Amino acid sequence: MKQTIDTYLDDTETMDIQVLSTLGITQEDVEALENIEGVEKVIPAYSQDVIIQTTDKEYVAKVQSIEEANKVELVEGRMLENANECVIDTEYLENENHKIGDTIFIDAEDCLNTQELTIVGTINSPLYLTRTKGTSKLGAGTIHYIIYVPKEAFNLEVYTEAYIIAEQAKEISFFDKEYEEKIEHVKDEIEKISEERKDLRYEEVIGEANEKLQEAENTLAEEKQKAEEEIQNAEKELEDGRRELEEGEQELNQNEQNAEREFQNAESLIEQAEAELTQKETELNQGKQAIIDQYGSIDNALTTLQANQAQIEAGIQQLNQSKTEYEGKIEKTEQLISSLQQQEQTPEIIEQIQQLQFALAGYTEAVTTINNMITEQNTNLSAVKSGIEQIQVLLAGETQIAEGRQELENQKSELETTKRQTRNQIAEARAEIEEGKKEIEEGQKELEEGKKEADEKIAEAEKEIQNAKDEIAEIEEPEWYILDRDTNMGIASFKQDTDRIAKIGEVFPIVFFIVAALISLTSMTRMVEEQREKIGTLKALGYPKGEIALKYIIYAFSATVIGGIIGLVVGFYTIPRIIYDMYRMMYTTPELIIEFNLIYTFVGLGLAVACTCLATAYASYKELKEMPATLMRPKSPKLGKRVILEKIPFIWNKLKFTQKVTVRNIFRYKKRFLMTIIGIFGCTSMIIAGFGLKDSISSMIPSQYGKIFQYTMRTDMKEGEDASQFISTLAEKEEVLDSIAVNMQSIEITKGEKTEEPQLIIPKEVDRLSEFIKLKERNKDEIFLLEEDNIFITEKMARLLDVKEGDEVILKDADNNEVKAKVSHVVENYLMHYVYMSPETYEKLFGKTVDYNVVLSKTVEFSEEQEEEFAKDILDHNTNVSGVTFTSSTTTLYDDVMNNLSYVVGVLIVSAGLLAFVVLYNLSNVNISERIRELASIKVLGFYDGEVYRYVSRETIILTIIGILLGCLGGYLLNMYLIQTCELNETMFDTTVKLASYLYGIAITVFFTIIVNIFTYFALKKINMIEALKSVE
Amino acid sequence: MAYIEFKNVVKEYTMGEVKIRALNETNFQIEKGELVVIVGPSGAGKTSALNMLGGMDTVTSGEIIIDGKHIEKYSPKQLTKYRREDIGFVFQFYNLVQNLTAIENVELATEICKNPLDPKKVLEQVGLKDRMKNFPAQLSGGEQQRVAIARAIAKNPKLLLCDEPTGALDYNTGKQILKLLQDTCRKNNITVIIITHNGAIAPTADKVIHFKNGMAYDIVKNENPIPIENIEW
Repeated sequence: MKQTIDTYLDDTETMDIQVLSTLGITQEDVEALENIEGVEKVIPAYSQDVIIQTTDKEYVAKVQSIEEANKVELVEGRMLENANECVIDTEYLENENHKIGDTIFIDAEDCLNTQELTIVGTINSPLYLTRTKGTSKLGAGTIHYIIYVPKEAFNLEVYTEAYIIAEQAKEISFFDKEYEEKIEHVKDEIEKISEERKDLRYEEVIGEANEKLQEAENTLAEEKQKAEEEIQNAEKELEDGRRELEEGEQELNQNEQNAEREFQNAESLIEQAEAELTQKETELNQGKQAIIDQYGSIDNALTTLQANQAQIEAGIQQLNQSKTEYEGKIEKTEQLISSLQQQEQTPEIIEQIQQLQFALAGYTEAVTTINNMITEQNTNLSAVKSGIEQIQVLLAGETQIAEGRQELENQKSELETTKRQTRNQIAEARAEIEEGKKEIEEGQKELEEGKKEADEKIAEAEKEIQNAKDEIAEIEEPEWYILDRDTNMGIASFKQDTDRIAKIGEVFPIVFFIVAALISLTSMTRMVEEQREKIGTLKALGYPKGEIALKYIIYAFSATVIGGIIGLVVGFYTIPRIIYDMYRMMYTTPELIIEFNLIYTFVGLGLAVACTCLATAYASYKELKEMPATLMRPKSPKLGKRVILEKIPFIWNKLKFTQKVTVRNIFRYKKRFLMTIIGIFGCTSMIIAGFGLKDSISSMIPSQYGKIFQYTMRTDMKEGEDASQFISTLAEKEEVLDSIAVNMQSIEITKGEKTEEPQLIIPKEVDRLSEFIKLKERNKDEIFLLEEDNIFITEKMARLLDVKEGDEVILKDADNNEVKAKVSHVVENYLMHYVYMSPETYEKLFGKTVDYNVVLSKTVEFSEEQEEEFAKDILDHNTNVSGVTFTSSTTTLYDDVMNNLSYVVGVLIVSAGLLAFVVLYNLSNVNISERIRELASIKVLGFYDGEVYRYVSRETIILTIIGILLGCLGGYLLNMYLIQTCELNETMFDTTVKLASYLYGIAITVFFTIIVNIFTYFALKKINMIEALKSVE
Repeated sequence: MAYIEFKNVVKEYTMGEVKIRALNETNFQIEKGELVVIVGPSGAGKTSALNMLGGMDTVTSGEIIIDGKHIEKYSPKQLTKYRREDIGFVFQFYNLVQNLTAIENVELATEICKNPLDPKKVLEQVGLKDRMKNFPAQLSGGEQQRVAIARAIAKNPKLLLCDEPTGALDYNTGKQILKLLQDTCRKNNITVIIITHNGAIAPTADKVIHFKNGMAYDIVKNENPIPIENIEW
């Protein structure tokens, strides 16, 4: 695996060192780097973290320029040809329902020339071997995807980083110490020039920034002045307009008043006239009424009056005639009187005169009466006349009134018309004025707005300038990060993981090797011993010792070599492939390069050969030492010895006879005793470790997402969106049982030299957190509440950082605010690292308010499709949501890992079982053949088959039990060791091995033991007493 | 009827493709409580006969009747039971369990018997009172053989079978062993059958069976056996 990855890294020209500068890398920097000794090539490059927008989600991606270093490996599609194309890591298409040819929108105007990129292919990058791509200050802090674009797609002024290929580094495996030293040396060199380069760059940047700032300030001043002038002009104009309008309004009001007054006058005149008219009418009507009362009707009155008039006139005429008659008679009388007076006055004449005078007086009276009558009549006449006249006047008056009324009406309507017209005019004028006013108001508003805008702009510009100033002030001396491959997440963790495998690879071979060595030792010894007689004969015939020994050594050698070759094939091809395939689930690494490692071959084979041959040689030598005659005779059985236990009478005496025998036998055959125990121990412990490993790993996810994380759905809010409102939306869904808002952010936690990057979780409602995340210590029930000033960190991280309760750590948020805090509890956790604190604590520590960007919910049980549907529904209806994830998806992902693991566990169990079988079988064989005489003897004594079997196997059983018990302990320890070496940094496996695993381990061992014992039983049954005892002769 | 009866017993071994007839129609009878010596050259079938008598081997054909029982018809298990209860074996090379002390070796046998004798007494009887707690390796050949005999006797068997009990011993020791066997036979009234090359000891037996070519060609009954002390060879 190491070879594979080293070759891969060399082939892809993966950088040996990466130089990152906070202020970018200039061409001069590149040249300076090139001049460093030990540097073969310097490849400047761009990279930028961006937000990409997919159909329903936002992701953080890292855009990198494609360079001749860190060559990417095309998986699908083609490589880049144009500046608006990109290639993306394979995971993207897997996850995002996109295909090659689709475009991807990148929100990064300031660094990329084009925002829309066409995906033309998928790639694997040597820099990103894992699915984890590192962290970013953007978004939720995790980089999801890697996008490669041509260099031309970037519009940055300076390079962001430089890749360095060290001279002759390719020839060395980067797993070697030599590589490390070489790179370290180059890094030191870079460190040396970095100071100078940093200063230069700093000054350059500051200078540029200041220049720009100056320019900006000037522009701002100009713009400010201009804006002010404009505003003043506009204000003046507006003022003029306002004044005009006011004047107009005043005039209008005046006119209106005048017109109104006139109208009132005219109206009152009309009213007066009307009143008069009405009075007249009333009078007329009264007259009329009087006449009507008198005469019935006007016409009657007129007719009567005219008739009266005519009558009266006729009377007057008559009277005038009478008068004239009387006046004639008065004349004649007077004449006669005068005439008579002249004549003697005779008494007759006097009498006549007297008579005449009397008549005259009569006449005169009559005239007077007539005159009176005439006068009377004239009066009457004139009365009648005046009545007529009166009537006529009445009639005329009526007409007049009607006329007058008509006229009045005319006048009225005229007035109304005039009034209306005038009023309309006024209204129009007023509307105009209003409009004018509005216009002015609008103008004012516009002006205000303009002003505000201008102010804002100015403020903004000022702020920007201030920011720029601050920034300039903040521009720190640039930092050069000189990173090597070990700081690359993927490569480093691959390296770590291979080291882990190597560690496992150190343990298992040792166990196997010890057992194998023991097995071959006993087998070979036995073989030689069995052939004792033959050896004796050969020796007696005069063969030299060496030659005889060689025969066995060659036999052992060839057996070992054949076995070894088979072992090598399996060792080199099968097992690494299984393990590597498992690793490829987590790493995007190339096909395994199977390297026939000569060293391993020779070491492995050599050790095996040495072991068996030495054992054989030793056994042969032991035999050959003796005289042929002795050899011809059977080997004298091993001497009986007392065991320590016998010196403790109160135990020994309590043992039954058979038990004593067993105890003594156990102590007698120490080698066998050891081997049995080691074999069984190895078998049991490996099986337990295997199952335990599976337990630990498989319980990790259920533990994490069942016991600790009780929520089933996680919703991420978009940048800057608050979760509180969304929670109420969720609460309406009947599928969602309960929700809690939390803040999640990446944070750095440091203790001493060690730093980890956990997620910080701040629940909004501290007391409800336990419904979603159980914070407790492992194997304990007490659930902790996040009280003020409490900071909880997760167990694995605590271990990695070597932090205990009460220790002080340094927390650093994404904005590089560093605070010190005391860890109050270490809580159970299996996957990833977390830090928990309450909002109050956060505010107190960081002085910032918490924005809740994630909602954790408990939902009803969903099928996979239902989950997808539900997630889509949420995303469609809530624009403030950036993503919905169900914990079950994580569970599914790990199921695959589990399956692979089962494979490894299977291999482990099978090999362990075989080991136990081989060991036990071999031992029982040795046991039987070594003790065949003894066994035959007891058979002769009349031991039943079962008794014989028990006689022999009691020891084996006891040893097996001891082995199993030790194996349980060993399994526990081995499991711990394996887990701690296998464990990825961000996972913690539960080291508690389930009881079931122990039982499995024991059961499997017992199973193999039983099988072996069945073999033993039949082998014992087959012992031919006669043959066994006769062989003596 | 005799206590032990061998009737036309044939035993054939198959060695590869060759059949070897170890016993060829052997017939003999032994009475209860007799001390029988079987003599004959190597390969005459003495041991085969003894093995079959002891239930360690089966016949090819013929009948072996012991105390009225046809042991040739016994199953392996019955044979084991027979060995366990009725037979005591003494071998040339003692076949003691090296890992057990003298007394333990005896106990090993008494452990499985119905009516065993007290191991200590038996060992005392065979003259090993002081060596009881010694391991076989710490005992001389004669002493080891005595342990073996004690082991056989302690089982209180009906039949004591000895295959060359003195073969690996020197003269005096051999004599002592034979004496022991004779005494056992007489005192415990156990039927004792001894295989030996040594014809000199024949006079001490009640019955001498001569084997040759797989057959008991001569059976001599000795009316007046002499005690072992009185003979020399």
